[in-house]
Amino acid sequence: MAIASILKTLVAHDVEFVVVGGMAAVLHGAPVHTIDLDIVYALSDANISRLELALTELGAVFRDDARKIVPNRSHLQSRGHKLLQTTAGPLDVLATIETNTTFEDLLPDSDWLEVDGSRFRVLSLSRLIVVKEQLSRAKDQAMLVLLRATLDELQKRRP
Amino acid sequence: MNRVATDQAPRKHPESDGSQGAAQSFTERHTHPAYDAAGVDRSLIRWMLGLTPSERLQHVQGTIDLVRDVKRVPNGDR
Repeated sequence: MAIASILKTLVAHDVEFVVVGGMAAVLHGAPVHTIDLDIVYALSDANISRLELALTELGAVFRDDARKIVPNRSHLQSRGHKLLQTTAGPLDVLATIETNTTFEDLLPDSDWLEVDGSRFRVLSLSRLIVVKEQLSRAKDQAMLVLLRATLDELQKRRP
Repeated sequence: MNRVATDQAPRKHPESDGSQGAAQSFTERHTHPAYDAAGVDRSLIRWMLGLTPSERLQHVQGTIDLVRDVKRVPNGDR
């Protein structure tokens, strides 16, 4: 499974990351469709080294550039969004989200989930809703309705 | 014939109040509104929540694979 194999590779390289965006919504049970995986990663030197190795293994290149540029350390140290294509599918590697929210900022709002034996952090559904509430794009607003309904259903299930 | 009690207040979903769904009839368990006021299909959410994270990911992956593999059939081959 392609998405799972990306996650497995990141975990195998001990990359510190949290899954955000549509795939986080799916993992929490929201019925949304997305084709890429978005992660926010820790900007420490050690983590960037681990991420670089994982991306090499995944054959990552910048997605929208015909030159097939391989993301390097300098790219990963930057605060911008790195929109990549890997051999296992699209992967968006984000240094920050919102205005300047980092991996460390998101930690208190992340849950640990497991897929095929690999454990990783996923942004909580309630925090994901806060992120989407700040975005005015039509696709984010459409997802917001589904996220709120999913959170409501989850709360009904809790004793 | 099963009849939906439309003259009563909507029943809560069996899982919402901790009651045992098995004690209710099939009709009672399956006639809570699928769509909410915002037009969201709650039955789809409840189905997704019944899956594990791995199964949810497999479902999305299955959709991606299907879209990737689907091919348009030329007019002459229909």
